[in-house]
Amino acid sequence: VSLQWLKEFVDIEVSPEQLADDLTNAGTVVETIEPLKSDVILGLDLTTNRADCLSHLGVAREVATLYQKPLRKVETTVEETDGVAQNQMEIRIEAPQLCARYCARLIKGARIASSPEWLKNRLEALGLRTINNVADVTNYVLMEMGHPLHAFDLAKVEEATVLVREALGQESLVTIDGVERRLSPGMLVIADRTRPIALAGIMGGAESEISMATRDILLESAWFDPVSIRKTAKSLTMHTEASHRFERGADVNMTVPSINRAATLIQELAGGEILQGVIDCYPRIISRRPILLRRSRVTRLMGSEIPEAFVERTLSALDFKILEHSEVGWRVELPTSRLDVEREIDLIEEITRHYGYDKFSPTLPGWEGSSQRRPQQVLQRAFKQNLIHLGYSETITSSFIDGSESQKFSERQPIRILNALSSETEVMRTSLLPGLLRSFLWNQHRGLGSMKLFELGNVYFRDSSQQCCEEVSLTLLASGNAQAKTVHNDSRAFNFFDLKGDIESLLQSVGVSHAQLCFGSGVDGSENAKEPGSIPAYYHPGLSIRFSWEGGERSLMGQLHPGLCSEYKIKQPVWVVEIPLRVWPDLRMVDRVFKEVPRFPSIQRDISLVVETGVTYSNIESTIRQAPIKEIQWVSPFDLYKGEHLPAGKKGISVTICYQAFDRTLLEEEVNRYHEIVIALLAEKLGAQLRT
Amino acid sequence: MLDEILQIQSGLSSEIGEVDSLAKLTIFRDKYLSRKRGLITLLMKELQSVPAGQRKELGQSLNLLKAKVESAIEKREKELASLALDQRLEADRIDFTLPGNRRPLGHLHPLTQVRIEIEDIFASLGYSVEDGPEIETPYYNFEALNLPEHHPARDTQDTFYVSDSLLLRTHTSPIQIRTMERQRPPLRIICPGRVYRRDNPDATHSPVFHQIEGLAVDVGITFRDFKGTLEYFLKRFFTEQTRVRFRPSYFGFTEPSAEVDISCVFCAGKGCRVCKMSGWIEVLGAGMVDPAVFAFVNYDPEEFSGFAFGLGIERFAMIKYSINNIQYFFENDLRFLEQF
Repeated sequence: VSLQWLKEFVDIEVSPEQLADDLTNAGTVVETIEPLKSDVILGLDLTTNRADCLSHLGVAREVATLYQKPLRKVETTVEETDGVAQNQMEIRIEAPQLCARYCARLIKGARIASSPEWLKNRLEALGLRTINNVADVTNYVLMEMGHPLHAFDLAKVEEATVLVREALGQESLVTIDGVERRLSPGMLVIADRTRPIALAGIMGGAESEISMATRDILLESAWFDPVSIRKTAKSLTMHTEASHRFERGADVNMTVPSINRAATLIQELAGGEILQGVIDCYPRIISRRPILLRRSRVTRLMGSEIPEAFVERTLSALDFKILEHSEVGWRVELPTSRLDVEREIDLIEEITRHYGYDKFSPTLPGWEGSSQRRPQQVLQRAFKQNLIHLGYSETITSSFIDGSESQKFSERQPIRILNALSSETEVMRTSLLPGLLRSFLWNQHRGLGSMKLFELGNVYFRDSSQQCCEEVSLTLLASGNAQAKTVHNDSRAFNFFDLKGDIESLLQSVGVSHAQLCFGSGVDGSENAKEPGSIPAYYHPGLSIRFSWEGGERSLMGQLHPGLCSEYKIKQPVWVVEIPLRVWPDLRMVDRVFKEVPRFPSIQRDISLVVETGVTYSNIESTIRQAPIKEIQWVSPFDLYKGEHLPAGKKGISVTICYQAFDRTLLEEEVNRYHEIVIALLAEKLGAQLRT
Repeated sequence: MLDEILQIQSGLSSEIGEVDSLAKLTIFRDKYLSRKRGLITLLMKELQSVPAGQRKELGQSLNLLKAKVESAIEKREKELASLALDQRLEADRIDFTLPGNRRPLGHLHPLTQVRIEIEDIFASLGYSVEDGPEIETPYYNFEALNLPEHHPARDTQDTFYVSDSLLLRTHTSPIQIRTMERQRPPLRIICPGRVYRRDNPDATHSPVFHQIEGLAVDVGITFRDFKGTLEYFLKRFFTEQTRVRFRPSYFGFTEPSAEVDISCVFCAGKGCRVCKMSGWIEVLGAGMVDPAVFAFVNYDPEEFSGFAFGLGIERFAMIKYSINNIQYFFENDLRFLEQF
């Protein structure tokens, strides 16, 4: 808005900067202050509810309220001729639900020319294009009073008839921007007898536009339904000064003052005669029910009282009429200029924003409840914290990926975005791997060879019944060296057991013991190799495995398939783990009851065994644990041997067994007896022999 | 004989002082105490031939001398042993300036760190953490938040759709509605999560970003409580010196509404490029819950009142760490992540 223009309506004594601050603190945000010749232009950033501030008069009302100054309204006296407008024009509203009021004036014998400098300056200062004196006047009045007007060339309105109706099927209209618009029922148009001549409340038609040849003018000032204007403008992807105001709610009672103001100005600038009377069709009276503003409500909600005199003064200054003042509060009549205010709470907001939010001193509310976190949230945080201790850095990637990429890592049906920004972001991720690989590549291209990354986030898919599903997944990626070459150590490439160890440590940190973990689909872990279908194709078939644990879900770990890696131009092995976190035991419920710390010493014994190469370590440990000896505390392998000293098809494996009793010190001969039982059991079940 | 004793005695301390190795100490011991040729041993033998009158006195002197020599040897032996240990240990000395045997730690994403910090501040005020689906219905994302269809305010939140009836939530406010449907007041929750707006990516926009919204509903919650809670939070998250400004604004969900600014952390409110010379940075939108929203979840607005707020985690992280481009958060460049 122009400061000079504002000053026509209200006296402003403060500096533009002060004014901007004060307006901003009362909810009318001034974003920019730009000097322009002798004027200052304030750039407002209005919230969508404040249609009333889309004009100089409206902003002036705010200013007048702020500084308790009188507001000078626009007074117009129209000099009319004897000819009665009503008799020369037929106006009919056929869709009163979409157009509550339609006012028109006729001006005859005007001379269209370009506007005088003062008018051009005003419009150009606000960034509006100047066209001719008539069109410019309608824009001027729009900027001044906030009501959109339209001027038609009366000669182009066939049979001097205006119908305000919905568009018929198959109709179209070339609007003044030269674009042909296909209309459909539901769109409100201004039509003459034969065709639409304007898109109501949005843009006029090119044919009936004011031209240099125009002599007689039909001036329109109407009130259109906000939702209808918005729908039509949206579906035609149009946005104009007029539609902007109508869709936010114009003032139905501004129609007449605006049309009078415009008619007078046109006559002043273009001459001509204004026919007598405003043709005013107002089939659907917009009336507003008064509301009660309770004093107690204000205090209860805001936490402190607002002086009565302030409430009354502010409401009046903002055009709200106080009908009645009682013990309870005020009965307030709502002006048609403020359709956004319709409830008590809206009035409270009007008052408090003028009173000043800074006048309410801060307090903290009391609280009798507690503060809860869901088990899933506790778990996720624990996972993240423990992963960084294991050296993994957290990544966060977009939910959107390329459709073709989604198929590589999941058989699930992806959720497609109907209005995606690009084809690379057209579906929602069904796996976290594409994002992790992108992060891996990003860093590799910047010279990093070794890294450990993870992401914990949602994947999205449609289930068999097409329902959209979201599921939390934890995915890890590791590649390069497990240990870098330093002065202290040689480098060592990351291998499967680094990955497995990380997972064992991680799961232990959230309460899953190593013993609960199960690798492969069977207990012995070997069964899995016989079902090649159970590992997805993007994994290396020989270096990948499923794993699970009691209460947890089937997860995957292993090396990415080298073929897939080469598609991404990755030459080094990439290890990944995928753990869905759909179901998880409540961490706080994990059995953490104190167990007595053993007071008697433990005894460790080693055995070196020779077994068939097909026998796994897991076979050996589970066989040992089958022994009826409760004193076995733990079993751990410490050596593997394959080679010339053993017969073909055999391998050597050495394990330590730890024996301990909780009620006594174990005797040497007791342990010897246990150990013999174990050896016999291994020989019986697995054909294991002692290596000498 | 007495002369000999005195002579040995007087030279003793200087002589032992020159013994600087265990080998020399053996020689020293042999010199005086060797069973065959030791000077003191010989004197002891000589004592037999001394006249009985002098023998007692001389014998005492000689014994005293022997004890002195023995204790000098013992003392010197300890000194030499300790010296030898010192030397051996000194030889172990290493180059302390070499780097440690480091175990590289991973890094929590700055967005997670900020989220945890905010969650913990609100947890200390009694707030619980709630979550909800990212794929939402227009009802929960808009209607129940008092943003009816065809409301101009919807323009500011350009939305991704996955079907006619499902969209990607544009804020985490739907969680507030879902929680209120499930639970009666009193209620204090924060709702962190991923949200979507159909903006082309640039330095300050990302179609995918993260929010934390909060809601408190109880009997007698006031606008002053709303201000106090947010001031407490902002001062804890930024600094004690942070000044907080509440400006009237408009959101469908709240009324009265406010945009909340903090004094610019880059220039301490003096005015700089980041705050566009205003001295203030906008950090969140908030307000008292609109009675219309309570109507959607069957809370009686005459009985209960409350406040709600929403903030962008990326924005908070950018302000806190002076990050100038939102895209850094999604590139996952380790040179970026390792700074946090």
